Amino acid sequence: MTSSRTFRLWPRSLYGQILLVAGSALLLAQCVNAAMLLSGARTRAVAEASVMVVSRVANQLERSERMGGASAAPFMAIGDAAGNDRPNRRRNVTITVDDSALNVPRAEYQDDMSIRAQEFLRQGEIALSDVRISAVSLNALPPALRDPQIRRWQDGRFRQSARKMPNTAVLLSGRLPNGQWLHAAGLVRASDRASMIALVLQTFTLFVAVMVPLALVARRIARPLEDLTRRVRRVGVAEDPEPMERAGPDDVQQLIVAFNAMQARVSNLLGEKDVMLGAIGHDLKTPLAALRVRIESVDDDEEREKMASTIDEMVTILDDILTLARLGKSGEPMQSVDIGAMVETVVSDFAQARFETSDLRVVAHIRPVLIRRALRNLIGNAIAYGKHAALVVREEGGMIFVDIDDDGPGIDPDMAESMFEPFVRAERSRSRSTGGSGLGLTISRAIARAHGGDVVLRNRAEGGLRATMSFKL
Amino acid sequence: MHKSRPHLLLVDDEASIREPLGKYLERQGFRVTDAASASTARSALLSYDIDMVLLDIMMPGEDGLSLCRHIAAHEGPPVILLTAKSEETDRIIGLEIGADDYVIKPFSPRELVARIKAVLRRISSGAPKPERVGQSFSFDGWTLNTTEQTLFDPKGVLVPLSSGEFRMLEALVERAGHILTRDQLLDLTRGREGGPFDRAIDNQVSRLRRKIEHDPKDPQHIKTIWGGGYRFSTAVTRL
Repeated sequence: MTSSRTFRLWPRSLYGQILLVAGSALLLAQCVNAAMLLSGARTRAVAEASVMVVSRVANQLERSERMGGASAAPFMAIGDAAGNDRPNRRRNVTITVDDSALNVPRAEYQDDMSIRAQEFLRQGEIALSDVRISAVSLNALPPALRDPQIRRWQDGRFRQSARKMPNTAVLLSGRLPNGQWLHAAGLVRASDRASMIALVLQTFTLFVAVMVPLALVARRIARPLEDLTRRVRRVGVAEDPEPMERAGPDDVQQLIVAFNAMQARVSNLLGEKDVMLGAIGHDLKTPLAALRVRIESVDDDEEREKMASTIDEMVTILDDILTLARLGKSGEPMQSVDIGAMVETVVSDFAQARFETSDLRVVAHIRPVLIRRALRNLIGNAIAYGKHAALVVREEGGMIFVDIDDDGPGIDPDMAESMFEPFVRAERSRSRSTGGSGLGLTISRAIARAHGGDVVLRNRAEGGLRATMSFKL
Repeated sequence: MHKSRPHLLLVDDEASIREPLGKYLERQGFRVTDAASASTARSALLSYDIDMVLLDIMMPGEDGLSLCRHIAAHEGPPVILLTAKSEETDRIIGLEIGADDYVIKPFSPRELVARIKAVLRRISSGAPKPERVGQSFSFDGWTLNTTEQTLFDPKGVLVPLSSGEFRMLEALVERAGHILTRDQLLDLTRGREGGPFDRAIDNQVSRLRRKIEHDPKDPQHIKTIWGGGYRFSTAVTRL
C-alpha cells in the first residue's frame, strides 16, 4: 500500500473529490468570466478613448472654422503638438494633417465606433468625411502622433489610473474638405489593475461563498461515513460497541439507523451463537466428566487408557470451540508484555522448537493468554507436520511478526486460505493422525485478527512451511 | 493420615458425577458423604467430622467459590475445587479464596486421588498450607507475584516466565543473599509435574538472566558463585 502515500492529483475520499470537482468547476467558470470581463473592459476603454478623440477633433475643427480658413488652423495645432511642449490640459489627443491616409490593418478598424463618430460629426456640421476609427498598437503610429503621447504620459498626468504605459491608442482618420487627411490619436487607458483586483476579490468571495458551505456539507456526509466504515470493520470482532449516533443529512442518517439495526441483529446472532456454544460445551463436559470417572471401572488397562484419550480429545475440541466462541468477549485484560520473553516461554514447552531471536526485547500491548495460545497452536502444527519448529520474532511498522518455520512438506498453495477454515486439515490420506481439533489455525487467526494482525501460511523456498503471525504493538 | 478412612465431602449438583465418583473414592479407601448443593454441604459440615471437601464450582444457587470462602473463613477442612473452566483467572480466584488445590473437569479420578492424598499428607505432617495470598516480592523495581505467577519489570511490563523459571526465581528471591547449590535449586523447583529440568538448572538460570538482567553476560541479580551455585544478590522487599 505504499502507492497510497505518494501524492495523488485525484483524491480518493468522497470529501476530497467533492471539493476538487467543485473547486475546479469554479475555477474554470472564473477563467471564462475573467476573459469576458477583460475583453469587455478593453472594449469600454477603446470606446472611452474614441469619444475623447472624436470630441477633441470636433472641437479643434470647429475652432479653426470660426477663426477662418478651414485648412490653416489644424496646422497650428500640429505645430504645437510636434514642437513646443506647451502645457495644455486638453492635449491628450494629438492631431496631425497629412497628404495621405495611414495604412492601418483592416482587423484594427472599429467599424461601430467609426459609424457613430461620422454621425456625430455630421450632426455637428463638421466637414470631415471618410471617418475611420481604429485601435492600433502605439508603436504602429507615425512618430508625429506617437511621441507627443509618450511625452504626455511621462509627464505623469495620467499615471494615477494605470501603472503601466498603455500600448494601445485610438487612431481617427478623416478627409478634410481640402483633400488632406486629418489624423488624431489618443491613448487607450485600460485600468487593468483595478479590474484584476475586482476579479480576484470576486473569485475569492465566490470561492468562500461556495466552497466553505460545500466543505461543511461534504464533511457532514463524509464524517458519519468514515465512522460507519470503522464500525463496519469491527462488527463481530470487537465487543458490542454503542449504537452510532445519527449525524449528517437524512440519507446518511437513514444509513446509520439501518446500520445500528444491523449491528444489533449481528450482535444478537453472535450472542446467541456464543450462548449456544457455551451451553453445548458445558452440557457436554458434564457427561464427559461422568464418563471419565466411570471408565475407571474398566479393568483392561489398555482399553481404559484409550477411552481416556478419546475423552481428552473430545474435551480438547470442546475447549477449542469454546475459545472460539468466547474470543470476542475475552475477559482477559490487555497488558504490556515482553514479547521476547513470552515467545521464549512458549517455545520452552516444546522440545522440538527453537527460538532464534531470544535477545529481542520488544514490548506489545496484548492479551497474553490468548496470544500464547495462538503461538502454541502454530508451534504444535509445525512440529506435527514437520519435525522441528524455528521461531523468529521481528518488529516492523508498529507490528510484531512471529515467523514459525517447519521442515515439513509444506502445503498446496491453493489450500493456504482454506486451512484457516474450521475443521480443515492439511493431511490428505492421514486421518487425524496429528490429533487436535482442526480448530487450531482458525483460533490462531481469530486471535491475531482480534489483535489487529493476521496469520498467513507460505511455503518456504528452502522447503517447509512458514506460518507468520502478526499483531499490533 | 490421622484416620484410617479419611472422610470426604463431595459437593456437586450433577448426580451423574457425584454417584460414580463417590463409589470410586470409596473403593479407594475413603469414606464419602455427598451433597447436591451448597446448603446441604453446610449442614453436612456441621454434622460430620469432614477431613476434606471436594467442591464443584459451578452450582445453581450458592456456588462453590462462595462455599469455599465460607469454609476457609471458618478454618474448616481443606478444599479441592472441581472446576469446569480452565481459564487461568478461575484457578487464581479459587486458590486466593483459600482452596488447597483444584482439578479441571473432566479429571482423571486417579489424579484426583493423588491430589487428595497429597493434601492430606501435608495437613497431617503439620506443614503449613502454602501461603498464596498476596505474596509478592520486589527487587530493583521488579515485582514478582507468587499468587498470580507474574513478573513485572520496572516499567510495569509483564515478563512471561515458564513455570520452571518462575519457581527458580521464586526460590532465589525468597532466599536472597544465600547461596543455593544446584541440588538445592533442583529440590526447590521440582514442581508437581516433575519438570523437564533435572539437568537444566544452568539453562534455566541463563534463560532467566536473559529475561531479567540488563546485561545477561554481566548479571547483577542472579550471580554465579564458583564451586557453589547461585545467589540472588539484589535487595528484595516483601510486599
